[in-house]
Amino acid sequence: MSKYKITSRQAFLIIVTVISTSGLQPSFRNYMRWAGNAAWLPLALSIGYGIAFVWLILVLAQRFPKQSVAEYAPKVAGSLLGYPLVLLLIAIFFLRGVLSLRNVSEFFVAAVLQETPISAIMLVMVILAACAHWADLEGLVRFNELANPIIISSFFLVLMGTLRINFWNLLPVFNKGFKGLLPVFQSACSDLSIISYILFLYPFLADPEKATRTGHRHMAMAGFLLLLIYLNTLLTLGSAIGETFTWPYLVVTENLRLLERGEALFIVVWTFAAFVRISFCFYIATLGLCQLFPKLRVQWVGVAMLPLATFLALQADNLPTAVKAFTLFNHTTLYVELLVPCILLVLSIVRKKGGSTDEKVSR
Amino acid sequence: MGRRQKRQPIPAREFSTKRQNEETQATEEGKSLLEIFDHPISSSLEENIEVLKKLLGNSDDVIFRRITIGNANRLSAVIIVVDGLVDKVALQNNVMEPLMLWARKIEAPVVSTSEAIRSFFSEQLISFLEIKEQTTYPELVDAVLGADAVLLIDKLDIGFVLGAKQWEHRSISDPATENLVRGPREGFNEVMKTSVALVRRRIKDPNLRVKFLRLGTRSATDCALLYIEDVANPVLVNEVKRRLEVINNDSILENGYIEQFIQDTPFSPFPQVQYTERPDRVAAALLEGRVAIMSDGSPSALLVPATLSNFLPAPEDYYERWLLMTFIRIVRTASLLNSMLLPSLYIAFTSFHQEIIPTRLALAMAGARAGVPFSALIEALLMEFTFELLREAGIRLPVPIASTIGIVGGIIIGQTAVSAGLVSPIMVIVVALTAMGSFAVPSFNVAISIRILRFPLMILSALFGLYGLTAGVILILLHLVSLKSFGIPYLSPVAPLTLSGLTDTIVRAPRWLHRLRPLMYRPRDRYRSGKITSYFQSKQAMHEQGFEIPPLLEEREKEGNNP
Repeated sequence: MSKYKITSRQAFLIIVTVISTSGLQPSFRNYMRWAGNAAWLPLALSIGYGIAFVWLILVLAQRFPKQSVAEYAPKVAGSLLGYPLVLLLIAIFFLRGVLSLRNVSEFFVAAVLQETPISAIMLVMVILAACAHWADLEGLVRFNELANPIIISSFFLVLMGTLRINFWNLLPVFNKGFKGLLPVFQSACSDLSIISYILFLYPFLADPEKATRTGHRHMAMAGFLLLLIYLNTLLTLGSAIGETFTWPYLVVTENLRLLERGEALFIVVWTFAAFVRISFCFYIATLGLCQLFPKLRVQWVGVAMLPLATFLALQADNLPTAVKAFTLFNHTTLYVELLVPCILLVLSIVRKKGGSTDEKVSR
Repeated sequence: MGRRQKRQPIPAREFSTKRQNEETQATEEGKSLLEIFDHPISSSLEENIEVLKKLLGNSDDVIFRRITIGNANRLSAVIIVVDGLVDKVALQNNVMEPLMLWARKIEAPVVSTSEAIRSFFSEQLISFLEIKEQTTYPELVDAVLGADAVLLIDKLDIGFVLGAKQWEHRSISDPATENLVRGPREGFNEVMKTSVALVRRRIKDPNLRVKFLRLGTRSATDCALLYIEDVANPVLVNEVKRRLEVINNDSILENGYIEQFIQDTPFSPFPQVQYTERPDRVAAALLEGRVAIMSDGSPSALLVPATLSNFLPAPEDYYERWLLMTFIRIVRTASLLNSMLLPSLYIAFTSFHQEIIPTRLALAMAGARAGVPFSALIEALLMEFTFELLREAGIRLPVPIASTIGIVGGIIIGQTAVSAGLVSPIMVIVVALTAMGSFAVPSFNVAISIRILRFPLMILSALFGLYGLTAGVILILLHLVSLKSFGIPYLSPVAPLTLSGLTDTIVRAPRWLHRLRPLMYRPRDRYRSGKITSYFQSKQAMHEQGFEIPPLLEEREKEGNNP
């Protein structure tokens, strides 16, 4: 697997695409419901968290150059703790893929394919994800590199085409008090924490010395993009109206006057984004497993894993159940994704593993 | 023509016995005749003729012309040629006449040693530019079949190979598939050496390397590998050589054979080797650090590596001004997408997303489709298939009949199908636009790939609308980003992104901005030019006011007299 070399820019650009799909998740409705007009404040703060988190995982990754977390975690934390920690990260990525699959499929059904069964939409997405496993990491990051400008442009196009922006929608700022700010912050941070995939990809970076600079820049871009999309939604709909829709951003695009009912065209672009998010989550889970068990092949594990993912994605009886599962997942995994690198970093410092020690030299 | 080390000739009787023994033994082992006779030739002319006749299978088109050289010290000789492949006049004037007539008149040297005879013939008597000495039978057979003339002289254990190739061939003409408005009108022909010369004429650089090789065990096709030594990456050149050398096929009848043997992914619908009939295009590719492959009998050259961005420009994109050609390139790219996606979009819009169509158009389309008995997919497949049929029929026919086919297809079938209610008029428009789009793509093999991919996309659109169409496009893009040509990513310089390479993609930047060669080929010499390459840039750099031609002295005086 080490033959694949990707640039830091390619590796970190994924986060921008992945975060841009938040508009296709039910997150925005939750933000408006929890924090009202003030939800953009914790969103803005979450950018700072994201940058700090990138710093944390890069400090950890740089202590073990040319190694993935699956390789050094058992050495740092011992087999008893190391393996479960990595498996926990793998499970998070897998479940994130499952929930994204469900949410995105629901989104497509609601937006353009009302008469198509959700399982059919999932099937198409799962086949695409399987193909992404065959294209491998190199293919996936290049695809993202190609699709990213189109995806980003679509959000700016929506912004430019939105005619009914009303800045009064920001007032009163704290119309729902301060209580809802924390869940919004948690949810946004959880979205940004997906950057922990770098722990698995770090050995594939062709230019790891550039990673810090690139990582911070792209995380900031991703955070600002999320904020921009959210503000676009909030300023157009207002929180009172926005929280009544499952996908408020879809309503924003439906009201564009650029094209007559142009949301179908945006769906084309967002399918790209959804594909990157879903296949990347599954790919990281598969890659992690293959790094833990080197005899496994990414392609076959991916193909084997995807039917299970579809089965799990279909378990939620209806959309509200899926949304609840998504919210619960976001709030729980934030801490897990933060704790795992923290534990590993502390243990590596305490046990003097990695860094300038012989661990680094031996690789 | 270097001097060979002196060998002791085998006496004729001994040679004959030895040969017979070897022949019997080798035939028992199942070897071919060429393997059997893979040893030095004899000094006996009769022995040599016998062996060569056996090796050449007594074919009627092989001429063995016996001659006698000299007057006093007579020597027998034979000229062996394949009828129709050699320049008979040149042979007559420069070989036969000197040997048969002049040799009698001039004073013969003391020809005591075979070395002296050899130098006498090759340096004094035979006035041929290209002359080589060969010592084994397979070499002589190769020479005769390769359209050279072979001269064998009694008492000499070598054969003279005379470069007398000449056969009927097409003259240099306009490239049939790459016509231009502005640019040279020369195209390659089927003679490889002429094609190589056309490239050499454009690059007068001593670093331009031309390496000849023969491919095909039976066809023994002459091929040439061209590259610029200090520009092309040596790893790339070696890889091309390696791939060519491992070709193990009985024939290379066209360089399409070579393309299929050396491409990276044979199952991809996209071409990974570029072909061109234009010498200027080959020269431009060599200057970018790419490698060209030519083969005898083929009026085109192969260029490797090839990325998708190589297939979209036409050569005149570089001859015309950048702004115009950027516009043309945008049109061309749009037409490529149009050719691939338009029928699928029609199906998706009419079957799934009617809401996206403006209301009046939607009503008009619904009205037009009212009497059509088929679904949008069947309607589109029917028309696309009919069009492909017409196109295929039109290509193979002579021009007057092909135009008739066009009229029959375009007007009669199109109009009749609409009047009969089989298809809607809008579908005819869609098919026409699709066809025009595919013709606007300069590269024929990319246009074919797009034509093939159109059909699965149409089916996906019929199943899932725009979602299905997007899924299909994602699959195609995933394939494209994974594809490589000689180790170079197929979508470079877009994915992976090389900023300097973007000056020659959809946008064709001004010529003076092409300072760097495309870095994706990792050329040894990265720069095409120095920092300042145009008058425009030099003016900016030196803050000049610009250049104006002052009026002539007489004009000024006239102006002074008559203000």
